[in-house]
Amino acid sequence: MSALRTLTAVEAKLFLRDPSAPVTVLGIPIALVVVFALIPAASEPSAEFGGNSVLANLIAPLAVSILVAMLALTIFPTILSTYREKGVLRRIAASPVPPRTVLIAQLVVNVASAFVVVLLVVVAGTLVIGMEAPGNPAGLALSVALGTAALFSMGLLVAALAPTGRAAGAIGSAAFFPMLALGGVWVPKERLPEFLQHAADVLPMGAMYNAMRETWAGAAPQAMQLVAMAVFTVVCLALSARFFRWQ
Amino acid sequence: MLVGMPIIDVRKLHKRYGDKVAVNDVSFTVERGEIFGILGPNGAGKTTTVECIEGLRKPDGGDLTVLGLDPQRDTLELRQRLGVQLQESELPERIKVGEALELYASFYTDPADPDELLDILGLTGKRGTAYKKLSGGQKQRLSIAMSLIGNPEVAVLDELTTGLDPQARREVWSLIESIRDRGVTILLVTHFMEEAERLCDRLALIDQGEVVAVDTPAGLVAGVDDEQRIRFRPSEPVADHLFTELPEVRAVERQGTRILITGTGNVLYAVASVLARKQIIAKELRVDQASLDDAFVALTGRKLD
Repeated sequence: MSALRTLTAVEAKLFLRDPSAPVTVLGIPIALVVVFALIPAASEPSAEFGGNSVLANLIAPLAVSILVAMLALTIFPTILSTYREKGVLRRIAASPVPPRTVLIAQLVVNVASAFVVVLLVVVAGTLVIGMEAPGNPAGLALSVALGTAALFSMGLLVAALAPTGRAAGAIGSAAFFPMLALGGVWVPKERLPEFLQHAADVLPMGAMYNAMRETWAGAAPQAMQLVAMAVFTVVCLALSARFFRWQ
Repeated sequence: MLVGMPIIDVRKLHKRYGDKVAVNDVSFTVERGEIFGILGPNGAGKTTTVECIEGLRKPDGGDLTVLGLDPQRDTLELRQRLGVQLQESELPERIKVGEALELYASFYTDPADPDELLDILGLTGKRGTAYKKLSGGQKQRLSIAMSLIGNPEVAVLDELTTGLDPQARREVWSLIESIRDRGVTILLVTHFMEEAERLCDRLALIDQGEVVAVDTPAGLVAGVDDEQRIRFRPSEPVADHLFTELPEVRAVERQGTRILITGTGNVLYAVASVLARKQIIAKELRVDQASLDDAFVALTGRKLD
């Protein structure tokens, strides 16, 4: 346990020492929420979104989904694959600490960053900017937790399949952008063609995003969204366990 | 542990990758306190052999004990007592030298003092430097420090001077000797003949996955061919028969104004006595002896590199 704690502390330091990761993690959601908060119309209740503002119904869930997906699909697998490529994992394997400890430490650091993003958007958004508070906070928390699990499992699979850090970044982005489009994150799903609306509720980023929209507005998340995220988590974890190599 | 029991005991170790046999019935023992070398060309199966010893690879056959432990079964205990320097293994680029050593120190029950190790390895001034900012020699010294951070009884060092300049290489060699003097048994993997000759008490020559010979460096050289070549330019004309009548001399050859004498045993002393008696000075004197390179060629029919 103490090795995991020390390793997590070191990995967290390394994460913060890399200027790009903290700037991305904090910068993008703040920029999104602040820019839209400056547009008066974005904060007004809209009939289209069941009385919610654009900010609460679109922008806040969007900031959270994009950030969690970026952490899970590009930053996390790139670090792991680079560690494998450069022999960092092998070096740990030759010590009394099993290499999975590094993986867990990385997961802790990245999930913690994701948690900071969520907290920032929800708490600062409602308290500072005056965005409506989530109508169904428990449902929102469940949606975010399941979405985070699904996206990080996918990220683990990316790290398992990518031979190098660079390849992991490329594969992660190749998964990220289509999900952005098909998940109804670029264009709200109700404006997507009908056959794509199902994809938006099934693909993990879209499922998380749309479940956040529902729950922010006070409704319950759709069963389809929750089941899809749970299934993605289980399948990706099983595949990762099958294909992940430490060296 | 029993007195006199080898620190590393490898018997008929066998490892395949698919159809390719990487290690074929390799056997050798390493005794307490010695520097034992595994010398062979690239791709000979040296790294695979030590990775089995380190427990990083599972052998397909044979018996293997390290400190009386089975690397596959007693992995955790072995890792506490065995220090490892891996070929081509890096650290995260932003980790600082001191952080890396302290991190690894926290993995062991009885670690060495990181500051003392930094001092011994001449890295004290680099304590707060990021890994990616280190030179090749500094990275190499850090990886040696990391292999010693757990206060190991045995250290396995794989190609530890590859990529170093001659100056840095000599410094690392002195360092390895001082580590052995502290009581650490060392298993050294190398394809540098000079490194093996300088450092190793005993050597296993490995070629194409098989042990060709195990002996001291001197024993390996002597076992092959102890022919020496003496070349010089005499200050006065001298007749060939003065040399050919010596029992140690095998042949005398004229190369312009130079003489090349080949012979065995004490040939250099015999030739020098003749020259002294005739008051002839040997100018531009050169003596070539068989080396480990020659031993390797004689044993395998192939060159080391």
